[in-house]
Amino acid sequence: MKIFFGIILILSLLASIITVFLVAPVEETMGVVQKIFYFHVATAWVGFLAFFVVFIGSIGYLIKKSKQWNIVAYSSAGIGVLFTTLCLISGSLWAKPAWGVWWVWDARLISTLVLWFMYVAYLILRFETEGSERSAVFCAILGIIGFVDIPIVFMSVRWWRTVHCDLIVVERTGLTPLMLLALLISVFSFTLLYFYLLMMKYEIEKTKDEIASLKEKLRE
Amino acid sequence: MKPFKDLFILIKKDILNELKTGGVLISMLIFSLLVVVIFSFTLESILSRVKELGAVLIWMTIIFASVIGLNYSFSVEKENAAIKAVMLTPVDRGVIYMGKMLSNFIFILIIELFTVPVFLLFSNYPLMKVIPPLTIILILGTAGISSVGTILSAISTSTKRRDILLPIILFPIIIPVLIGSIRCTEIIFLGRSLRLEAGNWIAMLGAYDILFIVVSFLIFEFVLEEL
Repeated sequence: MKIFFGIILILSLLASIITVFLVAPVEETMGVVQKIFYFHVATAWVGFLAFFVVFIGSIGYLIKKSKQWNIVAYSSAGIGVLFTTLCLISGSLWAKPAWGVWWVWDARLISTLVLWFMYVAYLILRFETEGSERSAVFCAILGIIGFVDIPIVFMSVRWWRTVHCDLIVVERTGLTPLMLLALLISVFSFTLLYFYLLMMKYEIEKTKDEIASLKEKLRE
Repeated sequence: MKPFKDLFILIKKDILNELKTGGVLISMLIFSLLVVVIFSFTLESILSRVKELGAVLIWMTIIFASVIGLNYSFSVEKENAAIKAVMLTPVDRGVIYMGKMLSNFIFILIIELFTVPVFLLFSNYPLMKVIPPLTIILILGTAGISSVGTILSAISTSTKRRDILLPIILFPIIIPVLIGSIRCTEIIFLGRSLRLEAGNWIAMLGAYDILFIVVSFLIFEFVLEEL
């Protein structure tokens, strides 16, 4: 099952690389740099998806109080931070040639940065409380409060300022069908990658947990 | 009307405790006055030209003083397991949250009551014109800080490095409150109408306060069990 999933994942990642670099046309004004866009959007999407899974896992844990939910939330938070970091870096790399600067204080950039800080804080809280019963509850609480906060952060930062090109505007300024195809394939393959990583991380954390409880038993 | 009576008793307990031991409120006050004084005289030449900069300074002072107070609010409960005694009383868990939230709210407001006028005086803002609208924003912003701050301080108090953990988990969450309050305060300092220009910000601050008071009220019992 896992190997099967892995093969599909590799194939879809290959497909996305091929469509992005060979099938999708080179953008007129920005040139080849615009290729970052496909991966940039995909990492952003995976970041959000991962944080949504943290939220679901946190609620699940508070209701059911079972370890699995907690492990899912924790694993997903780590992957989410990883992909948000990649999103920030790829965005920065794209911003330099496109806007002439590495960073702009634009609504979507600020929101993403705030999101990154929020879930880094989640991981720090996890690290600080590790090993205790409380850890799961506290992190679940932060996972819920953090996710509820995201829409407000987005809205308030948007009112504060906006420079970022909207996806809709991009479409209007000429996201050709082939570009759209490349985007969809890369988003899809990154989503698969996310689930694959989540599965792996889940297994690792579960094994860690089992080892810890076995050690506990040995000590007794 | 039992919940309200309970709430009143819980707040009274916190205030009495503060009056009898007297430590943290005075420290918060002196700290925030110090920060305000340092800001006022180091940035004097800029502040006289860029009036709206004061908004950022006021809110940064408030946020740092709040962290001190919030860090204290549950660590005092954990000494001698006082919180367990509170939990043993026949009071709803949500009411315990509301009590703590409101006493934090009151403490931070007391700090603002002294700090903000001092800042306005030092930096020559028109007091009579600024204070009435600013009061509304201070209340809305402080409610936001104490709503999330109370539940997060309950969490951070139970960890090893609690003093540094609270700002790390709290600041990203209250960013909407911060930027909303700062924007409104800027509008006030520029002498413009809050009603005309900051309607959506005030609505956002109000919505944030209500949302997080309700969410925290609902999930606080899970935290309380682990304290």
